[in-house]
Amino acid sequence: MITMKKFVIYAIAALALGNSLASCTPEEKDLFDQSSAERLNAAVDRYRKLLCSAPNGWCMEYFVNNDWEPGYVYLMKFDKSTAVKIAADNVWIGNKYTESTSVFDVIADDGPVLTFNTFNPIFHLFATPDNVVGNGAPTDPNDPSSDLDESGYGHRGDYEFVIEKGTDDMMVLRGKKWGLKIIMRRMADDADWKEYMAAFKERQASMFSKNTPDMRMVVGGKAYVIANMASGVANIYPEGGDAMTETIKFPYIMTENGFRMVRPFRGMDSNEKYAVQSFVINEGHTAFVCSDEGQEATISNYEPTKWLFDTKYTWASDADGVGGRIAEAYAELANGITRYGTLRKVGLRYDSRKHSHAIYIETSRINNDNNYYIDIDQDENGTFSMLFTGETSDNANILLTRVPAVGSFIEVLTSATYTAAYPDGLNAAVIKLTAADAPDDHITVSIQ
Amino acid sequence: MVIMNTKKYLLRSACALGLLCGTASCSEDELGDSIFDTTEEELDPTSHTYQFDRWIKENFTDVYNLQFIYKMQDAGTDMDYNLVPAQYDKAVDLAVLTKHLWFDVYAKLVGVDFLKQYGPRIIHLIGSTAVNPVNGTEILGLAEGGLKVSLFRVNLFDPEDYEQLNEKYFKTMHHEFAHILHQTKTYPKEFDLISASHYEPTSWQDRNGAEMASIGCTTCYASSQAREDFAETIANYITRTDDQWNLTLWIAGKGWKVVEDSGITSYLSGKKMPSMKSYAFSYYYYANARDREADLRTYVGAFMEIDQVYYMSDLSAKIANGTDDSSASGMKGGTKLFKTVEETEAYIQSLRGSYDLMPVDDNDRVDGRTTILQKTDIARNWLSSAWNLNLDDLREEVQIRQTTFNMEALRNEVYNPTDTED
Repeated sequence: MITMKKFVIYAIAALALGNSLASCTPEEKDLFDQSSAERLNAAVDRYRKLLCSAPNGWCMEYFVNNDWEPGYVYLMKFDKSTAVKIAADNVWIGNKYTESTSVFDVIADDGPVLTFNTFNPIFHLFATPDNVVGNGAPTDPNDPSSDLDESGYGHRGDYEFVIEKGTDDMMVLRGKKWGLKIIMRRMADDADWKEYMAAFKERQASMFSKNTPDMRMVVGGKAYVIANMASGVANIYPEGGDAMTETIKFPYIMTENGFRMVRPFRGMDSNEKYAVQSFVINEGHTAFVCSDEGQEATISNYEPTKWLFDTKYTWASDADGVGGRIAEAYAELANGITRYGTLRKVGLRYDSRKHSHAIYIETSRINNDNNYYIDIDQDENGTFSMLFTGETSDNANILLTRVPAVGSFIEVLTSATYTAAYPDGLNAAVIKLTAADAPDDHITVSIQ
Repeated sequence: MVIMNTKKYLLRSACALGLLCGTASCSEDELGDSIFDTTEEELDPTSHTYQFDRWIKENFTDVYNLQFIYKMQDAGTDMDYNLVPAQYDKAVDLAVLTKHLWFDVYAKLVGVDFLKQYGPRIIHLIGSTAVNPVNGTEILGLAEGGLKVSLFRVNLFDPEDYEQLNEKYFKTMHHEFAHILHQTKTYPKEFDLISASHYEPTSWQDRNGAEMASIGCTTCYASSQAREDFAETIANYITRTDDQWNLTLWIAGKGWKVVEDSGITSYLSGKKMPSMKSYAFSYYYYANARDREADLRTYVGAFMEIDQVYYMSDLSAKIANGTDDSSASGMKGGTKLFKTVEETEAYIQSLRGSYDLMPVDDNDRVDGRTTILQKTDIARNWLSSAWNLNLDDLREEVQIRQTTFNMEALRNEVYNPTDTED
């Protein structure tokens, strides 16, 4: 019996011990020092302080969820009083630097959320459901003469952002409703907001002017055409493909040394192994290279002659764009032609009625029917010459017969073999023609 | 048997001990303080919005236990809509007017406790319109479960535009409060039967306001379903001025020729007048013998609805009767608006001097004027018996307040509270 009793007591003790362990072990093991709610509250506090810690605020790279408009820059100074001063300069606020103050908060929602919770006219305009009208508004694809009706949707922009990541220099946000990734970068303490915004606009204008020709992107062994960059939206289609039916659009925003697209490009069907989104300009300013980690891609210009002799472009130069013998001939032309007005410009164009390329000379009184028709002779290395056919349009013929300097100018321009290059780096709207055997003889033309 | 009993005893003891042990070992898991911050948030005097927050606390939260939310919380909205927050200064304007034209009215007539008990717990301001992208309808206000009222388009609030204020904000407040009241105590079922065969819950927005008045509904929205009709009847009776209410009843007493015609729309657009989905006329005449022979009628006495305010106008149009072709031609006028019955009658009378004017047949078999008054009577009796509220006293108080309020003085309650107290 004694043995039996001992056994029973041990059994009870073991049972009690086991019971105790079994009942509580899982609940007592803390993976985190704080509860999830406490951790969320702590994150909210931390991000609120982080936002207010930038004495000169943050630069937000803002996108909306449509593919017809670019990204926009917002400068934001957060104050612990919950006031936020916002500055912008874009087409929707009259292309004028504007500041406006409203209220913000960081709240515990789906994680920590930055909310701009009172209306700010220069920021919330992208989230209002009103139809988008005015300069820049999208047209109906089925009826290009009328505006697309966006009633109920507006631009499809966010004003509440889940904070995914925050460091002293950068915050990564995600729009709560439309889901786009938005980045905020800390502004340098001494940066002047107005100057910063002006420099941003200047960079956009100089990098991609209205007439910038298409560019070429090579990624993953495939080549793509990137068109219409000046619109703020990269129109991408495969080289050799059909622009009308195959284009996919990627709104982008200029960064300090390049641009970032709203989302990564993963090929035409979004199923390639690469994913390229951010590009920076290379050292020689001849190409954009992908700056995304582990990604390789370059965006560069096509050969200059592709655009120089493209039938849709008209090129022009004036006294500031010529050198050597061409400059001398230009000066003589300017003096000799005064009877027919002040010399304005000379250049290259395509006459679609005549189906021929031409050199043209334009004065203050003669700006049409002033073509001197040429044939283009181009070799494999890209060097070319322009051969005067002897044919002219009506006004050109009058000048040619009555003003000797006209014939001399045409003779100088058409007697050399040229090489063509982009003198402004990536800006393909400017091309410099240099005589192959006399480098001092040159003429720089830009797209009209 | 003994052993068996001992075993049983020991097993029971073991279970009890185990249970005890288990319980004892878990005593640390007793419910302690909430993991959420439950302390009442003190207002921060350094906050950018402190003046307004303090005014809200003193005038709404402390008095009525009401949260007046002007900082947008999208968790509290329908995510199918694309909405934006209210602008701060507009929210201030609407807050002080909400108190002056709604809460103070009831406080004066039936005491503070009435709204404390039955008033909404939350008022949520939304800056934008709530436009349904699918059918283009727009929500002006929402009352959910008697607890929460959402007021939209706060950013379009213009305190100088009295008629717009009345239709788009003040009326909405009374409309939503009427919902809260009937969600608490139901109104008589006989109301639902009066226009039961005329309600159109999904296509009310395509109807014409004059035609709806003629069947006994104060607005097109009232013609959507009975409970909206009930709230609209009360809200329109309270907020429409005598002139507007009488004009509503005049319109309700007429028959209407309703046409949807793009020609009239482009004609009005040329006159810089707002267009409508359809146009309604109350009289016609034949301009000459040829028109009479062809039954080509010149319709006049046109109804106009601009920003939901009802007017009559001098628009006229020729429309052939009795043929498939009802397209309008020969439009004239359309720029003169009549706000009262007197102005309208004078205009009609002036036409009688030149033409043999005929009223459009009122063939809907409903006396709209009598119906609207009947509905108003039901609402009046219900407010009196269920709530001890006199609808006419309510209307009088609102009418006085909404025509005499001083916006600057009301704003000063927020921006310069000491001035106001002095």
